Amino acid sequence: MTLLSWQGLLALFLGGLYGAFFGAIPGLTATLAVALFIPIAFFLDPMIALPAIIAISSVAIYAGDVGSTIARIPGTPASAAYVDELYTLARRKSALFGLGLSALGSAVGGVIGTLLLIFFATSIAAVARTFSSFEYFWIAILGLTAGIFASGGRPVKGAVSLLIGLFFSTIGIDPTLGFPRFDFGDSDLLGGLNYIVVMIGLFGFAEVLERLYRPQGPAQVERVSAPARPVYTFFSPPLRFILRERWLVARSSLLGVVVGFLPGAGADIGAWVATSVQKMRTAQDEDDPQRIILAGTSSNNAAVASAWIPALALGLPGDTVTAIVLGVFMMKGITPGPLLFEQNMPLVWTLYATFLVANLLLLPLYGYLTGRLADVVVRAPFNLLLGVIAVLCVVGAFAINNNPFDVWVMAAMGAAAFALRRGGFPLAQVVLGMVLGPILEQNFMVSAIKSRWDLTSFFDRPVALLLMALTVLIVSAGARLTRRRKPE
Amino acid sequence: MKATEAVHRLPGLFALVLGTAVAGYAATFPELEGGYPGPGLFPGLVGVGLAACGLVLLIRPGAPERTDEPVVDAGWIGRARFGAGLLLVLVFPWLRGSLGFFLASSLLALTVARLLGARWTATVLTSALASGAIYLFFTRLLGVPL
Repeated sequence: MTLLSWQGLLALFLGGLYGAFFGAIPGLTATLAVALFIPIAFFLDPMIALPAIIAISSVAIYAGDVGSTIARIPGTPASAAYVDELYTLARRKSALFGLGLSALGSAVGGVIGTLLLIFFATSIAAVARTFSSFEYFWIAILGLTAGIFASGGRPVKGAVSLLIGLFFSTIGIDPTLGFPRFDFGDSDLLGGLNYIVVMIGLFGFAEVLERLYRPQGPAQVERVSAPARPVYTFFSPPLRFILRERWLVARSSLLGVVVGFLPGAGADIGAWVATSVQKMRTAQDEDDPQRIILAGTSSNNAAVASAWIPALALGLPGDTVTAIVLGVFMMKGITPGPLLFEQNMPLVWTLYATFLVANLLLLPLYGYLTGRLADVVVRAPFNLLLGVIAVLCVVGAFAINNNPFDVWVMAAMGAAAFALRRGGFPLAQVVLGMVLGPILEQNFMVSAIKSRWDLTSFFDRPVALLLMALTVLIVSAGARLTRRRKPE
Repeated sequence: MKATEAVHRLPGLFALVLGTAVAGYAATFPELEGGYPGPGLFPGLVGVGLAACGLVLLIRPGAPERTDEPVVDAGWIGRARFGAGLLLVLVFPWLRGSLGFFLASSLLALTVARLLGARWTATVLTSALASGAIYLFFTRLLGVPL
């Protein structure tokens, strides 16, 4: 059975549709979509099951932006980096245009990521193998630093938001001694806070509370009319913009690949660094939000492909989706790693081809379909829409663990976001802090313990030094940008 | 100090108080063998960082930024609407237990939309249809009990 058989193509298209549903609904993620697909994958030929998984994850990661467009609820921590820009663009211009930019930017980023996967998988994997806890510590620092300057406001306020996120990440069992922290004897808090629940509260429910408090607030922009030529609106202006900003797309995709293959939060760090770099290069014109969306979305999907590099070449999962994929490999009796490239090249080529088909065909197709849907939804009366968003927030938070506690956390986060916005604190940085906190702490503690608390060892290794230099570069560029903004 | 200046210093005060509380509580966590820092180190550093940023914001609050939501008092009506929405979500798990998911979620959607001034007919229809669709999608398609 091959990818080009009718069963293969059907699996791809159904996988894409399934991924689009999961990505677009708050609380449901690409990982959950792939995890629920496993019982079906068990009965399928690997040549069909693995391409279906690629289709599911590629489309689901993009479809996370549909939630951002309709309800200001980002689907992934990476899409939190540009959620405000996408939400506002959908209301000021058109949801079809915003999602066109997102889907086509994702497609281009995905193709670049795939090409790098095809030509450099083994060499990139060799670099990945040299990474130790010291390098992971510095990469987390790099991501956090980028987050501080990605807010566009005062860096000190971005830092407060990040630190709040880092604090949230410490709630529960600590990674070193298994000691319960900030749980106050509550078994629900002992399990820690789920960042998806926090994201739904900070963005989606906060919007509901904001409108309840002030129905005629400044974000209540005029309702846009339906585009006269939807196909044109979705494809043509976004494609022209992508062509005009080709270096931005290439740079962001490359960042997505370079950082994206790192296990843990590679894709998220890549997207945050890409959007942060873009915010620093601001041209101060009306196209700035579009550039930021493009930077984040192309980097995000480039990372989807690059997360497969360590999985295929080393048998190490790059993210939760590839961790599940490795389980499917084992289930089917396939051993990933260098031998895969010698013994099972047809499968490897099938995977490469699937990535290309998913990005060139499925993303534009499902992007357009979800764009049409979102375009109708955002033009619905806002007060009715907010009622439905409130229900989706509750269901999204509850469905993750079937636990009422998550609904309360979500509500508390919505109220906290209301207060944070009034203080001028950016919200997306809280999510970034929560995602990177465990990576930062775990790798710091492992490095410190194995070097017997000789902290100079953090500056010994060449790659670690390079990452530190990049961090310093971001800090100095960010500080220069902040000084430049001050006279305004 | 004028009232508006005091309001601008509130974010700094918030970060300072939160940071001090986090660092203070983290100091009660145990150390590793040999006196090395343990589970309290990371939250302790986070707390100190928060307090330091809070201090900076307290001393130099700066002018409101373009990204800030303007501090507008929506009056008691706004506060009541905000409180009602928040309360309804907080009691949702109990409502779901006693009324069932469909009625509880319809009530939530209806209340929010009505508080925002939507018309009765459209609100009732939208709330029931959306709640039904969400219920069927999660329970029948995904097998997630609601």
